[in-house]
Amino acid sequence: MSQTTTTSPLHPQHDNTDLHVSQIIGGFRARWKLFALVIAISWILVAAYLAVAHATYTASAQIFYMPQIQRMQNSSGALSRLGALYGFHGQDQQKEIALATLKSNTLIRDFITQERLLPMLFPEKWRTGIDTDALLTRGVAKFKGLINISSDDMTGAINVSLSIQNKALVARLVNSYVETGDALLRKNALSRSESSLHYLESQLSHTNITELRSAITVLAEQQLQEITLAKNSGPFAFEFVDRATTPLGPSWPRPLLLLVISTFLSAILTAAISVTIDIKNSGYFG
Amino acid sequence: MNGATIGSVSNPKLRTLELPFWPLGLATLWEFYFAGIRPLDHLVVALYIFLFIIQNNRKVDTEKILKTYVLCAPLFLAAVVGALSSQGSWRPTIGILEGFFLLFIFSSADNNIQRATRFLRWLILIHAVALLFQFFVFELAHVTINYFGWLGRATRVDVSGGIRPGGLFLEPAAFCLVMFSLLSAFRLLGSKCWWTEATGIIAILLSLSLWGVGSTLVYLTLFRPKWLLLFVPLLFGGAVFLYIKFGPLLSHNSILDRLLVHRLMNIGKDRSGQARYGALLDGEVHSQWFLWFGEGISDKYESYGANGLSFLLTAMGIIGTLLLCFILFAVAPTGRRFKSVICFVFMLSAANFWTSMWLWAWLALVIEVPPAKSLKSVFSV
Repeated sequence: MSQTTTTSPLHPQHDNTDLHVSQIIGGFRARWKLFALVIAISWILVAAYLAVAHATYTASAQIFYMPQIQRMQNSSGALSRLGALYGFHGQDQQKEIALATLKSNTLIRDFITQERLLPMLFPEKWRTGIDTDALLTRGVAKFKGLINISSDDMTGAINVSLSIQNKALVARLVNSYVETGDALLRKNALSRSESSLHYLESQLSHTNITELRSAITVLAEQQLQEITLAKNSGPFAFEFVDRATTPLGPSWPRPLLLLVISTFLSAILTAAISVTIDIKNSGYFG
Repeated sequence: MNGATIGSVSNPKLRTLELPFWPLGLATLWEFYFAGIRPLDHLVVALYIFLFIIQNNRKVDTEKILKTYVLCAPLFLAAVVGALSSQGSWRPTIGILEGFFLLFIFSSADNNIQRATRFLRWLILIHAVALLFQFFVFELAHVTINYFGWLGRATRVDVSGGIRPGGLFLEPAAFCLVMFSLLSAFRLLGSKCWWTEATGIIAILLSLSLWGVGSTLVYLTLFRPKWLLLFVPLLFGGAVFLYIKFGPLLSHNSILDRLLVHRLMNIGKDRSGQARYGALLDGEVHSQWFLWFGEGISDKYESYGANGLSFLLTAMGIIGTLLLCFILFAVAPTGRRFKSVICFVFMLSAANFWTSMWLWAWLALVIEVPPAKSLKSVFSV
């Protein structure tokens, strides 16, 4: 590295071709006006954004995964054996399946169709006679970006929140989404059990061996019990702890958060500019 | 290296910025978090900022600083866009900006490659030993060691019929990701040590992670192609040994059968694979613009799958992702460019760890100057 005798205007004690940490930090101090200017510009941009941005409203519901089979087991000892079969050993896995269903494309697709959400999701593209199937696929992807489903490992609670621009509709949609998910799980369980029962009945009619008939009968009885539980009224798998309520104010844009983030980003940008000037002054670029 | 000599006079003004490596070890413990915050990551960044400020009479490496700029510029742009478009973007944005700090400070220092590789070797061994200890204690005493017990957290290593050890991580895939990053950084910095690498690879394989098996194949292909020839017979030999030693472990529907063989045979239906890559293959996007150019940094990145590549695709689109890979290719030292990019992309396929400081430390190590030049600078200062 060549040694030159010219000195930096900021730090006369250092050689010009070497950039020192103190020069970088000194550069930050010396260019405070540049920092202030860039931060002020970022605030103006944030203010302009706040003026034109559409307000988004978020509503959240808190639910618990409580399959009916477990509820029955808790309240009555009669189904404890069945509850042990279904409730305890596979509880975590059942919850995972329920969560996956709640996040599934099938549920979102059903929900968008049921609530006729396409005009809300694509207001600029929506018109009568449009190919709704193609738009529905894109609607599913867009809706996934609006809904947030998370599970708290510590408490076991599931949080479902939705962010849209319609304040009046958002809470109803969240609650309806959970109920639609619950109905889908119920439908799946019913269909599975009925299919199993149908198969077991057909097997039963083809055998005369007493032991085998007895075993099949026990299995069929279990399926019948599950069908009975699934047809029961009330929630099937998801129990509301807190239903979503209409939000008081918009969740986005958040002026204070935007100001903090913009200050942080513009400070980093100015710091990078300052270091680049120092590098240039050090003669690195020739 | 605390003093530079010009002629016979020691000139303290020409000392270079030196940073310790050991805090980076804390960054590898990224799964020790509370309420979604990684205290060790913040501690590492704060420590390096502190060291940067107090060592203010040191010169910095301007070339590496400029490389850092180029690498960070697209992500900075994505952070600005994300901050304006997504209400949940501020958390990943803060994490990534912290990563910028770490990359900048670490890259500005004149790092001793020999010390770096020595540090990496220790880290590989520490993580491998933690996993091996967990594995053997379970096999011998049927007790699962939970390194997270003092935090009141349950690991995801217990499965019916055995464990998939995760070492100092909550699950095996996270262990494999960090071990792969350590091994790849070790080799990309020009070091070689067969027993260190073998220990790391054995630990990965014992974790019974499917991604881990893939990472082993990638690692061997890139860095130990001759070992690749031994991989299949070794795997077979290992299976025979395990059968003799543990017997039921390899029986039908055993843990090994269910977690590796069955998953490999039914890779298309694998739940973990579906969660990570299913959406990536579905390609369901609601805007062509977002597909190509992204929508900025966002906490909702799972539209392409639950992995780091999906995070990047969401933030910067296909164009931005390719640009970042090209930039990494350009700033990585000659001779290890392809390997650096392949390792980087492969690591991103495991999980989203963009807000983990270890990824930024890895990038800082990978863009380090080649060993030959580094050693020269070490002896010349």
